[in-house]
Amino acid sequence: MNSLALVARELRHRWPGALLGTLVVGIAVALVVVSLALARAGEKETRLIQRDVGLNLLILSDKTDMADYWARGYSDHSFPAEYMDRVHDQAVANRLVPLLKQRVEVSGVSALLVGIEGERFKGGQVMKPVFGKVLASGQAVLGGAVARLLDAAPGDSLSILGHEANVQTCLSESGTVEDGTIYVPMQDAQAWLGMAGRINEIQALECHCGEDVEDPLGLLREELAPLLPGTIVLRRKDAADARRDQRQLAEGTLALLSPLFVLLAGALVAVLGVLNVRDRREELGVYGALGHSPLRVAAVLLGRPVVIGCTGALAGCALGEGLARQYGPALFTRAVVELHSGWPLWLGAILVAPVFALIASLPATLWSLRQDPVRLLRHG
Amino acid sequence: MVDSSPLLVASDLGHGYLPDRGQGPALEGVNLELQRGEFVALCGPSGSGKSTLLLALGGMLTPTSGQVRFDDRDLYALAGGERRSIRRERLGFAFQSMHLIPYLNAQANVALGDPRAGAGSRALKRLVELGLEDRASHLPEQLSAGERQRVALARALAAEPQVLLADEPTGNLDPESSALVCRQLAVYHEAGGTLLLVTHDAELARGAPRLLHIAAGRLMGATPATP
Repeated sequence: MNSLALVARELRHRWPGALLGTLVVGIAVALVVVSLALARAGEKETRLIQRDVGLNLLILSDKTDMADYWARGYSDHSFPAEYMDRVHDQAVANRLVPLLKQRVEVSGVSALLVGIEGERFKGGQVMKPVFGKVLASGQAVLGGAVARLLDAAPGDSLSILGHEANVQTCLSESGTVEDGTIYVPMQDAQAWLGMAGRINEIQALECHCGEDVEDPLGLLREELAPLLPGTIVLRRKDAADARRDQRQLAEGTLALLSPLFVLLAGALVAVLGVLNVRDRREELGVYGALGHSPLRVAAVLLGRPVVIGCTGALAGCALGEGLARQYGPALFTRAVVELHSGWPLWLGAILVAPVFALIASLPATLWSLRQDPVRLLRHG
Repeated sequence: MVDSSPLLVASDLGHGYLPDRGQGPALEGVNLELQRGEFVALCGPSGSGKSTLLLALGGMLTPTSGQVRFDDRDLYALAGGERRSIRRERLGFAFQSMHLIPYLNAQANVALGDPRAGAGSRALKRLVELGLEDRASHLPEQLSAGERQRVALARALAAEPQVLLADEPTGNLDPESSALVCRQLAVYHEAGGTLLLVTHDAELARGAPRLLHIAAGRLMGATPATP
């Protein structure tokens, strides 16, 4: 009878123990899967919430009168729009949004005209439309207060600086400066304001949030000054600090919980492996007494933890994923996709659990194989 | 040419305390020769070292002193693989506590003792000889103590070993089963097998041409063969 058949017979004969072992491994793996999925979703959710709090970096011309800027909401001084192409290879700012702002009057209503482009991500050319889709030339998005004062609705036409614009969207009132804003495509704004190839502001997210930086503003300026000459970087301290702290908390939770659950699962699997060898010393002795090779004895003995590790890991992944998908959305509404563990985690668990069980069983097995058979038989 | 050298020799064999025993040495200065084809019975009170001697002769318990030579080779000086090979192919051992694998049926347990191809069918034949033909597919837990003992003997004989070491092979048997076992042992011996039995069974011991006594780990004088 080959070793596989012996393993199968042993598992079938002691099925309650095998089932219990599978359950223990399954629960351990499920804990890991759930904790990883929840922690990952929590971290992502935190990032999304923090992103919506607003961009926390402001890049303006260094000639800007800041008192004037805070009073009017825009700078009179501009810089080349091609600066946006220079910020790909830096690591301190992300989600960069180029803006061209100017106060305008539309049908007797004062509004802040903002030319926008999609966001640019650091290190690449990825563009993301600010309003979910690209604004076409001649279209405008109105802030809530502007729309109300102009009594405008989507589809209406407006004359902005003598140019016709079609209202694409009217935003609901947000209680922020956005309420008094009219967004138009960057190229329209540049043309209408006579500022082709110019922008007067970049907003971005600081992205060394995970690091413990003593002087984040100093670092930002040091990194960006050579790339963007004639500009000054401002950091919205409260928003940036809160975002950093919250992200550190979320990432810290992930960093703490995940290894803890992995260790716990590993310990459970290891205990099962050691108990397997301990409980089967007599059997080991019989195989030894009958002159079976250590390799065959080890295969018979270690087959059990390997099979239980594999089946337990598979069951645990399914259970963990099920639990995460069932209860996760109640906690995380935006990062639901992160609750799906994905095949790499499944594959990892199915490989790691039996290997861990094998490694845990190995010392006791090797020790047993070196003993006189009779010493093992006496434990029977 | 017939080999006249002894098949199994114990020289000044000693063994200290066993791990789970608290008393004196289990074996002390034991000298013993088993000739090829010889049938020897070993008697002695409980705890006298009978089983320990049998285990040491069977290559399963490294002695603390002395030597065991099998076919003129020092059994415990051999590499692990060679000693295992002797245990697997040339030495049969029937344990007093049977030590059957609980998840294998009787036939598979017997086949486990036979390294050759076709072990399954030979195992069934062996069970038939021991009156267990209708118990072949039963697990050890479904067998009586006597049946288990017969299965253990069948396993020890499965590889058709040169030497059979049997520890109380009739200890748990009713008279009918005992007779079957005695007959199997006789058949084995008549076919040229070398047999060393530990037994309390006077009937079985009487059948042995040579009877040895052991007490307190020391082998006493041999009783002459029964006329």
